[in-house]
Amino acid sequence: MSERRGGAQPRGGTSSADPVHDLLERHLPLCETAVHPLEIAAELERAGIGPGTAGRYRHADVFSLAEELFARVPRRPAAHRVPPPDSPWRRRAVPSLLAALLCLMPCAALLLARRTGGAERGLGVSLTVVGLLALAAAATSGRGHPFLARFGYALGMAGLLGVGVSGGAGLPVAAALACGLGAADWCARWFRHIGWGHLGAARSRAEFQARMRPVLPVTVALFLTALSALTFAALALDRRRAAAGGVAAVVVGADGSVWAAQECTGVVLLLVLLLWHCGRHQAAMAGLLAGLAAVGVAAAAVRAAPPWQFAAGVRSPAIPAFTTAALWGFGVTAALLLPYAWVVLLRPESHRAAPADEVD
Amino acid sequence: MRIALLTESAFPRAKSAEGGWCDRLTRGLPEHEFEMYALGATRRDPLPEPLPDRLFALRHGAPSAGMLQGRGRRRALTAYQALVRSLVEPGAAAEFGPALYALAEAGRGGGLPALLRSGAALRLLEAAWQEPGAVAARGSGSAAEPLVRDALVAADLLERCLRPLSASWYEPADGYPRRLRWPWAQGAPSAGGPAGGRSGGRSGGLAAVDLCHAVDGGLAVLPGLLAKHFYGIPLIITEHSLHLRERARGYRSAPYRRPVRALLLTFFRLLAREGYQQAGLITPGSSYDQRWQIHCGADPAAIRVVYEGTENADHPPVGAEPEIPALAWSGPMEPHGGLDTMLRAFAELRAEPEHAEVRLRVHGETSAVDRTGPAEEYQDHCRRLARELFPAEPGAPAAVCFEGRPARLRTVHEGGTVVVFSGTEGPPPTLLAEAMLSGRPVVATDVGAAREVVGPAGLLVPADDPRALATACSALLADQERRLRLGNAGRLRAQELYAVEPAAAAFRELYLELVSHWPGQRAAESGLRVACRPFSRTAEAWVAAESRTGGQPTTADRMPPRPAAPRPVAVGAAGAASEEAGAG
Repeated sequence: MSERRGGAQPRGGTSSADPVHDLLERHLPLCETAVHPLEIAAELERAGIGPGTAGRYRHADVFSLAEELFARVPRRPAAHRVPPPDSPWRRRAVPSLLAALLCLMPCAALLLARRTGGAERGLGVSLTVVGLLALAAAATSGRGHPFLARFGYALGMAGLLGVGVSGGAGLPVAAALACGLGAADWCARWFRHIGWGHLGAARSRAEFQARMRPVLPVTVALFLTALSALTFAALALDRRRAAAGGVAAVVVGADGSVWAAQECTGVVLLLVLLLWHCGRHQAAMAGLLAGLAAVGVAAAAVRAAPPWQFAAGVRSPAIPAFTTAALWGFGVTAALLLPYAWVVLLRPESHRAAPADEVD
Repeated sequence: MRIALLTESAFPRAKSAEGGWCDRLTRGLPEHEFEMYALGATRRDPLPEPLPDRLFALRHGAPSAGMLQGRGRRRALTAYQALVRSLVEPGAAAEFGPALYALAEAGRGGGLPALLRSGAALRLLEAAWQEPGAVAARGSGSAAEPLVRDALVAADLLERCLRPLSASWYEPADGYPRRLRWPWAQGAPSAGGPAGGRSGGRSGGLAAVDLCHAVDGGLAVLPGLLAKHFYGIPLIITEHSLHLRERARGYRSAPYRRPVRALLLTFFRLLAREGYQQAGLITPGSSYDQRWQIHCGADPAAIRVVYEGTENADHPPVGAEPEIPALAWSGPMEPHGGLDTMLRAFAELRAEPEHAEVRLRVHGETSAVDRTGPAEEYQDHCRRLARELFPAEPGAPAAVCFEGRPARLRTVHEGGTVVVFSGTEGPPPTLLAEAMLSGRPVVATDVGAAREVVGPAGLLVPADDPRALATACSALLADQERRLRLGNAGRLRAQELYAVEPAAAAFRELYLELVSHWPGQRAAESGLRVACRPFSRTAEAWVAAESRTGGQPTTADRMPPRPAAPRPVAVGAAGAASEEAGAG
């Protein structure tokens, strides 16, 4: 071979006794971070060291040369530090605000229409509002979910919100709940964000669960606070308007059962969203279905009239009955869903980055 | 014969490199029926219309639906545990193959992907990493300690790799006994169908083929391994670029932490080893690559080098040389691409008075994905170096022009008097062959497969040596007669090595060789019943069935060359065929 430069030439001094040492120094980062000699061999070949050149390092082939390098250099994995992947849940304000606005709009429209006398209570109006809510829920459910799951989720979510809108405790409370969907979405994304961070810090499954244990109660408390604030604001606005309108001392839904029903519905809403964002589509849909079914059963039990049968403006005694139904139905559902979510949401596999590809 | 082409990609088009190769192979061997099993294709991928020539059927690798419960689930988890153990404990590497087959057996009813993503699988992986024997994941310090996210990422990647296990190919058509190799011999309902039906009417999947051909290494070998395990179908592996080497390089830049990297690299290493050991024949794209295969456990006697044919072998050479002499450099603009060396060599060349007019055309490939990494820095470095070495003179054309990657390779060769490859990571053999086919003389660094491709028909220089490169280029530029001679010789050599027909003929022989060495044990068991399709099997298959003397099939003893076209041999003539083979 002719004279060489730079590349593969063992240079004088001590390297004549130990030709590999020179090579070792040149490829030190590679050797420190390699997980197997084959990795070193592949990179050595890329650097132009072939079976012919390996002879100059007193080796038969690249593989034994790589093995010597691998054996001589202690592993120092810190040299190859991979930056932790960015959390996909970091940006959560915009989608949550969008969800809140989109869900608020049908309720606000209905409220306005009712105030101006443009819409009566009826099946058609309720269905329109539920349809709009379903569209809003589907649009803000996030990316990467299979179509069928998204469809079921949107329908169930619209049903959950629609129960409040078309019946129950009155429109302001229902509008607060619809707005609360945005708050729940934000809380669920925050939960995922925190989980993402702990995934990269915990060394074992048990440690991860221990780290995540306080997060779920905090999330629930956070959401309930937000929902209470929203409901209070809605009620205050409504009362101010009523006072300005001259109708004295009409306090809509100020009693305890309305508040309790609102909070129970909110808990179900939050848990469903948490399950949904953690990739548990079936569980989320089952939760929605169970909630709606429980409300139906409870309504039948307390003989509440179907919500669309009230005439507008008539304060039927059936309204408190329906509130009671919602309280019982969603209360029972929340009581069942909470332990399940507690078990499931603390598992690391609920926190993987991407939902599973559709396996059909 | 029915031959299953196994590929890792989606349904390849004729345009893609791999699809082009499959297309040439199927067209070159019209006497066989080919089926393509594409691991990357899903149910929703549109089938190429019309089906590529001579391709009998295309099948996608979408996993079959189903649930694993009870005993099946426990079996699958036990197998998965053994598999993971073999990956993380160096001492348990021998368990890899059995665990893989056990997992495939357990998951045959479907539902394996869901199980491998479940918490139970995750727990097993974590437990395996905690074992005292699991040194593969360890290093000094806490930087290599597996975190929960690593387990999650590794489990998901492993599930992805193991998805071919649950494809719906392995089940024989309805009503066949599971381990029966040749269903048509039992009077299967599909056997009466039209012989050349291209509608995919014949069912049976991998159970009904005679030979599996894994077109690229890696995961494409998995279905072949399972077909061999379940039905004893011989396997042939073709690797144009060595898959394991690509993996080892690719994982260095992947965003995985060390435990994940170690686990996956071990998986592919053990998979390659199992594949090489089980394959009847292995055909690397160059004898340079065969060292890797032998190192990973392949039997040297089972390796036959088959060069990848290019369809440009018949194209005419490019026309006259450019008026201003020029060097055409092409390669990746990356630290291993050698552009730095080329620029320095070119500076030395320009310093010689008789070559002061020579120009350098740089056709650098830039990877689109890596915009900020070392590749980008290297490009800037090269451009700066070019500006420093060859300052722009007003009125004179630039000595070095960066032209980017051309749409056609031919324009590179047309624009250069000499084609230069200076990378320390040798160019892909097909690129070298294309350059030689153009009729231009080639100067290449003596790394990788360059020596066997270029041979005596070009100049080889040591890597990282600008002086030697400059000397070689200067010698060629100064001597037109030598340029012509080397260009012609290179063209002839490349035509000989890289034409399409020799590759197809080589595979024709290899298929027959493989089948003739494989004991046709199922035919022997079924007592050579009258076949419904009498000419569907080559003579060699019957020879193997008749002359089987027991024991394992060996590929080491070479058979005499087979006739080019398979002769139709009726069942009654099998004895005569075996006599002939005995005499030969």
